[in-house]
Order: sequence, then structure tokens, then C-alpha cells
Amino acid sequence: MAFYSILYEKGKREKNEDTVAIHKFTTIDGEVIMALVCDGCGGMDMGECASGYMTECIEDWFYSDLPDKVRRGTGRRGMARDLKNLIFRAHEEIRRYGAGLGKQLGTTLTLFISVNSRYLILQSGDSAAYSISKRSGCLTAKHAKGGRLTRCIGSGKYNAPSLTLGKIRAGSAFLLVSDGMCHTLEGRDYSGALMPQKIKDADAASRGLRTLADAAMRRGETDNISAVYLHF
Amino acid sequence: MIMNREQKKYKPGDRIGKYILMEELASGGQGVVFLAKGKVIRQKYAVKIVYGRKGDEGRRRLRAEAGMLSSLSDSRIPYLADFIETDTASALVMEYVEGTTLTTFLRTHAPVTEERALELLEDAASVVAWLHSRQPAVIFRDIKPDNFMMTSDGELRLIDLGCALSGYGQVKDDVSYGTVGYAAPEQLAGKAVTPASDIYALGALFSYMVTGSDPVIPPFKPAGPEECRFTVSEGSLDILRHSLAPSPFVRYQNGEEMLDKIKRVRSELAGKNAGPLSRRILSVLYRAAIVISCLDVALFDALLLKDWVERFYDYPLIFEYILKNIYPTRFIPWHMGFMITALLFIPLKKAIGYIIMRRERYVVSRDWAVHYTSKQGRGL
Repeated sequence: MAFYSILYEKGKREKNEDTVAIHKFTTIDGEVIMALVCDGCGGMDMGECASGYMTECIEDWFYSDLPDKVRRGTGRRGMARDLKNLIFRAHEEIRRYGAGLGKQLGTTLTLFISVNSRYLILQSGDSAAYSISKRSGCLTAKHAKGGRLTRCIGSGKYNAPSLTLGKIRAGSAFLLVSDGMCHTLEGRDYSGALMPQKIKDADAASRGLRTLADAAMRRGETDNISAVYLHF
Repeated sequence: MIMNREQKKYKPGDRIGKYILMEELASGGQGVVFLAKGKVIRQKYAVKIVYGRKGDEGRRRLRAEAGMLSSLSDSRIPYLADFIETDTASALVMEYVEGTTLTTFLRTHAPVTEERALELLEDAASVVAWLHSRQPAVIFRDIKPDNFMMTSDGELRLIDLGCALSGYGQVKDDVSYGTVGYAAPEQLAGKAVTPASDIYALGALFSYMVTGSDPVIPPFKPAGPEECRFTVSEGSLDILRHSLAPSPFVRYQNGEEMLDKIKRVRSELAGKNAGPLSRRILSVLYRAAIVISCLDVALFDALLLKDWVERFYDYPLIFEYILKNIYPTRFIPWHMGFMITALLFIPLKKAIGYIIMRRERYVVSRDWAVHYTSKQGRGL
């Protein structure tokens, strides 16, 4: 694994309701990396509590449960199953908490986990994950219709996140973004700013992400803008 | 080239007193630092030059720094060699410390392992503890990686006492010293500094070492225990809690207290890695058994070749001795046991050891743990 870069911008909002995290540990067999973007749902209160809590649950699982699973050779589908159970429990906990306060909390989730050159992505909501290459492709489904979310964690009926599996090639790059970036930008914008052949180190990646954030704001974006760039 | 009175600035090649300036090492608000050589004794020195008229604030501070250096004598702090005053500048000549700054080291290596970070922190804290133990106590006020030099054998030495304060209480100057990100909150607010202010900076330094996140970068806040909870042990989290506390009364009160804690955490970690005493004793006994078994097998093979050897050489008397004393019939079971150990249990033990190691030490290192959120606290 070469390097990563993170963008975490409030945009024109009063507070940043997104949560972004990246973690990595090395085992005897190889590297395990987790990156996630959680966007506290716009229009709902205390979005940062929902996104922060979801992130904490996944981080705890990453360090306490995942090493054993990797050691025993659990496949990605087995890990995804485990994660979906965890996300369901978090969904119920957030819903219960919100009901106690008389508020509606919710968060989207884009979770990327790589284990020894293979990855899985779990997606719920309108944040997204892209593979950055000459023709950047979106790897996740968008769970939104007419400006409203059709899947969200912590609010309404539980819908399991969608799963994407794939292989990582040396020199490839991935980008996880919140909706603040993917509303106004497209795949060609990402590949223009973050082409793996151009991005040689974390500083270059930071500059690329900064360029994208500025472009999004010039195009009228007002939402929080969060992104994680991973270069293998 | 001799410095001209009208000439304001020194440059490499100029002479000041009995020192020849060779190259500029650094320049900043507090003056310019040159590498210099003595004109007669060709030893290297670091020369810090501050320009201005006699009586100017900068030159008075440099004189105070010279006074402070002359009163301090420790191998971890550069010694004062000379102090020169001209009409246009003052120059502080001190020992040149060879090495790289801790900044350079951390830019390429951070985050480092917890053990290495604690080792470096102990070095840094020990010199700060020595300063705090002076009478009156010396508060450094500008602890940061730039002010530590790492020598070729990996030891840290403190440089640049320009901000150091001797005796603490109310800050007499109107200027707040320190570097944003490393300076304690009371220091930035212009309130009284105490040795606990240096403790905050040491905590920020430790946080940088274990997370790779430099506090001088916005938002100018060192990563706290929450951000490090997956990367370091409970003992190190405790060090972070007690050094980065916003209130100086909650922090370690001086370098000595912090140094004690660091040493305890290091020995706890070392003890945990070494394993329990019984396991170590078993390991030593097993290794001794392996060595004896291998020697026994080698000796037995030598005896088997006795007849072949006799065709070319005279039969060595040593073999007669061995047959008679080490390989009589009543010792055969012992030798069989040694051979079984050598041929069977070594690979078996290695296989079991590998399985145990995979179970207990599967995770070799925790490398990144970066988390951005505006949520306060954990849980809901």
C-alpha cells in the first residue's frame, strides 16, 4: 500500500456532519486497510452523532473481530455478512437513541475494506466509491431518488447495504466521496485530478482533492465535502 | 573577508571574532544560525547572530540565552563556547551538534512503533526533567521536533534555548513564546508558564510520533488519546491523557514525573513481549536439549563411520574412549531419546510454535488510525 489522503471540508454549512476514517494494520499474511465516509443525513438533526457512532462501531469491529477472521481465512462475503449484522445493530441503536430524543438521526455509509489485494465495499445512501483510472468508474449503487435517500442507516426501515467485490491491482487508486462532492462532479473530473500515474505521493493527492473541492464549490455546492483517496 | 562596519549582514566566508562562517544553517525571527570553524582550532561551531543596535530587544535576549547556556552543563545541551558583541550584531557561539533534526526523522519515519516512540520520548523527557530540576527551574517553552537533534547513534540532544525561561511565575514579556500546535493553552493565552507547559509540548511530540500527524498543521491540535486508542497501549494512552490535558494542574507537574511514567510503561511493554518466566525457562531448557541432541547424533554418525575411517587412518584413540564411556549398553536409551528429540521434536516444535505465533502475534503492527469527525466523545 503506497499512501492515502483525506479531505474534510465544512463547505458553506455551519458544522461538518460527515465522519471520515482510515485504518490499517499489517499481519503476517499482508495488509488490511479500511476506509470509510459517513455522511450525516441532511435534513435530520445531529447527523454528526449518527455518522460518528457508525464509524466507531466499525472501527471497534475492525480491530477486535477482523484480525481473527483474516487469520482463519474468512472470505469477503463472510466479512460482509458480519458487517451487515453490525450495521443493523447500529441502525437499531441510532433509531432508539433518536426516538428517545424525539429527533430523527441518520447517516449514509461507504465502507471500503481491502484484505491482501482484494476488496469489498458496503454502500448505503448517496455517498459513493470510485475506481480512479483513465475512465473512472463508480463502484457503488446510488441509493437516492428525486433528492431523497432510499437507504439510510438509523432512520426509517432498515435496508441492508449493497455489496461490491473486486481485486486490487498495483498502481490502482480508489476514491470514497460524500454527496457534497459527487452531486456536482463526475468520473472524468476525478480522473483528471487524481490519475494514479500523475499522483506520486500524499502531497500530490492532497492537492488533487483540494482541486476537486474547489471545483465542487465553484459549481454551487454548499454541503459538507469529504473524501478519502487510496493509492495502492 | 573582514566584516565592514557599514555592511549589515554576515554571509558565508565572513569572519566574526576568531570564527569563520561556513554555511547558513537556519534563519528565523530570532536571528541567523551559521556553521563556523575556529580560525586557529578548526573545530566546528554553531554561531547564532542577531542584528540590531546595542540594547535592542533581540540582542538582550541573545545575551540572556548566553547567560543561561553558561549556567547549564549537560552532554545533552550544547555548551557555550563564546559570546561576541560588535556595533551591529551579537553572536552566540556554541557547540555544533552533528546529526539530523527530529523533524527530518519524523517526516520520513512517522508514525513509528510505540516502543520506538517511547524510547525517543524518554530521551526527550530526560533532558527536560534535568532542566526542570535546576535551581531555579528552567522551562524550555519551545519543545518541538525542530529543537531536537538526533545524533548518529539515535540519541536526542536539545538545541536552541532562545525561548527558555529561568524561574517560573508570571511571564514578564509581552510576547508569548512557543510554537502553535506544541504550545500549551496557557502559553498561547499569555498566562503564567510552568514546567507543566513543557509537559504539554512533550505530549504533542509523542502524539506526532505515534500517529504521524504533526500538530503544526491545521487545525493545530495534537491527536489525543481518542485518536490513538487503536494504535498504542493503555499505558501510552495514559501518558497522552496526562500530558495533553487542557488544565496544567491535571498534567504531570514536571519532567521527572513524566519520565517515571514513561519508564514504567516501557518496562510493562518489555515484560509483556518477553513472556512469562516459566515460558522463558522452558525455552532455555529446550534449546539446551536441542544442542545436546545434535551433538549426540553427530558423535553417533562418527562412530558408524569408524570402520571406513580405519582403512585410511589409524583409528583414533578418542573413539575407543567414547565407546567405553559414553556409549555403553546401559546409556543406549538416553541416546535414543536424544536422537528422537533431534529428528522428531525440533520440526514438531517449530510447527507448533508457528501455529501459536499466528494465533498470538498475527497482527504485526497497527499502522494508520486517522479519524475526522465533529462529534464529541464516544458512543451516542
